[in-house]
Amino acid sequence: MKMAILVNKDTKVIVQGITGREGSFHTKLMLEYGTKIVAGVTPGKGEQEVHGVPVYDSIKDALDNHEANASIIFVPARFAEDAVMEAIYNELNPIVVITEGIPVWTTAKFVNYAKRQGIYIIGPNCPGIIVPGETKLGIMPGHIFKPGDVAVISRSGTLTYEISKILSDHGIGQSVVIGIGGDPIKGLTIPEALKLLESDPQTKRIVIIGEIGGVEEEKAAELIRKEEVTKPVVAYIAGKHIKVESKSLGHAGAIILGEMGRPESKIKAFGEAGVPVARLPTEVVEYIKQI
Amino acid sequence: MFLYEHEGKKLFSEFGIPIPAGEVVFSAEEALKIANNIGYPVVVKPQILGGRRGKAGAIRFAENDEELLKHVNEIFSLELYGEKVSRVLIEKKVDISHEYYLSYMMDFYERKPIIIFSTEGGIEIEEIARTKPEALIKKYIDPDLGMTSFLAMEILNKLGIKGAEASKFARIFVRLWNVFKERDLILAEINPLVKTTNGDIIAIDARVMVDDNSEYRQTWIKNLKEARGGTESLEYKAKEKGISFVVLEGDIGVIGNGAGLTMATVDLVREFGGRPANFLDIGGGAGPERVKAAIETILKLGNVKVILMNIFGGITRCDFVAQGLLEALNELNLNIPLVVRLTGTNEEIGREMLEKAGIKAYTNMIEAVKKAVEIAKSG
Repeated sequence: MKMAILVNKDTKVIVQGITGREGSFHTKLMLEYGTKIVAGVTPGKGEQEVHGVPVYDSIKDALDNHEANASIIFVPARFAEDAVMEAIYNELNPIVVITEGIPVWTTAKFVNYAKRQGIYIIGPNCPGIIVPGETKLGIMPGHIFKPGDVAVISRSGTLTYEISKILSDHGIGQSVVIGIGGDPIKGLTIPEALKLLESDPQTKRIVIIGEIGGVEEEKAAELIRKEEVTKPVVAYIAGKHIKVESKSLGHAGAIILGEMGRPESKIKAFGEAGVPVARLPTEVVEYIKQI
Repeated sequence: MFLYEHEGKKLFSEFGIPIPAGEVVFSAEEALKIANNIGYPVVVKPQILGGRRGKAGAIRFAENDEELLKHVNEIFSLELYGEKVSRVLIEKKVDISHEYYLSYMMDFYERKPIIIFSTEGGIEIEEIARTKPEALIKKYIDPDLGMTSFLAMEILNKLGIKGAEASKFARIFVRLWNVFKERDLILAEINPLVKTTNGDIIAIDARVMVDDNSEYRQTWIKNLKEARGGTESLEYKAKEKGISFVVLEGDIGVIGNGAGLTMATVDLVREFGGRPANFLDIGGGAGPERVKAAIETILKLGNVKVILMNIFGGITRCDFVAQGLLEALNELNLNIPLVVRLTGTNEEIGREMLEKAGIKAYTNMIEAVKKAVEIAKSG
């Protein structure tokens, strides 16, 4: 059975913030890739069309006229809370939040609300999700990805493109590529993505592209060590030579997170879980080939 | 963004948290005036954004003008954790009977705020957690409920603080929560929170981190930045131009697009034996202005032998990036070598444009990094 997590070729998408510069531009690119975009929403701009997509003032109005199940959001940070809440309220799932610059208190609020409603949020401040050859809800350049059996989960944008392109150039395709975003508080985390991939028949191997700071890589390693995730994983950690202090919270942070967040901690955690950590981004492909 | 202690205290004070009388000064003359206004004995505290002043022996006490001048002059000549001291807080000395610790922070992974309170303060909280865990309480807070008086009482009673004294603390718990939530803080820490010999509860330190993303709704942040004036770092100035910049210690200037790719580039320079001078991310969709600002920022470091630029054109087209780079170079008088790696959308056009201008552009990231390291070593 062919499938991938969260989205597929049948996913019907609403673009929130479709009339803005970014929203309009990426609507065009997503349509070209084959994404089924059924409607756009920008409050106050209903009755227009963007690249042939009808625009509505609200999701409710869009849903009265079209069938849709997912959303991608491009609205500016200060209007993002309302847009995300509207998407959750209307039970769109998943919701991909491209917007960057949302305050963490706001993100915490909508992510917790989405969790209670059983809805997945990807992002904010992320490149989105692509199932190569089927659909993309995101801003990544579609042509560098190829269909295959390797899932890529990443906290980065361009580094994800870099590594995915290396994989594609070596003939190794991807089942799904998820850029979960660079904000400290986010919806889908690396451990949560791993759990979804574990039950995805299309995914045979997994690449994690991590970064310094935070504890997601350590938590992911723990899942693998406890064999809750059994598919083979290869990791890369960016920022080994950047001082982590600039991202950390000092004393109060240290007491909650201990030594977690530092690159040594992440590499050690992966090591204990039997996950090879590539020294260079180009090495990821060597490890993947060995699986 | 971290706040200076005096900025944090002012914020606390606006929300009704008691702080000692005092003021920030920028010169010895000002220090004398303030000390005489508030009356001796006073505490002299250098204002820096990072590091541990107590450990560096940089917090002093003065009983009279002579002692004050001696300490203030010494402190103004200090460099603490790489920061030159340009501002000093002069405060009324508090007679301490006991020190406590109180903080709120946002736990990013759990996506919830957490309170930490300890009946032992004044020393590092990690130390207390290790040696006296029974004196410390950590508790997640439901953001919808917030920190209420009854929750504060629960925590205080559990650590043996009761009655009227507990009420005094509880008020501060609630007020600090109010600052924390209403001002979009990521960290609000008082260490130590003290009980004076008169039984008053006073915050004698403040460590505050505010969420930079909240500036659009927290207008005081802009005022605070303006009040700071010209004391800001190169990092800060770069940020104003949409560039993320971190100074490292080497001689190879690093520019990339996207934080992850730029971090990976810094790592690669190290892996191949070079020393990165910085981390600089020009972000997505950078035009000529930002490319120019990036190169200018790196040149200000002064000790850079070569600039390595690693660009992956995703949605951003490589010919746009090349055009931006050429425009930037036209306006700048760049007298150090530039190694460019350019790949992605329209890379052939972009590379050809650069080659016409005498700049060889690599497709392979590893080769570009090796070349930059080689130049730095031979220069």
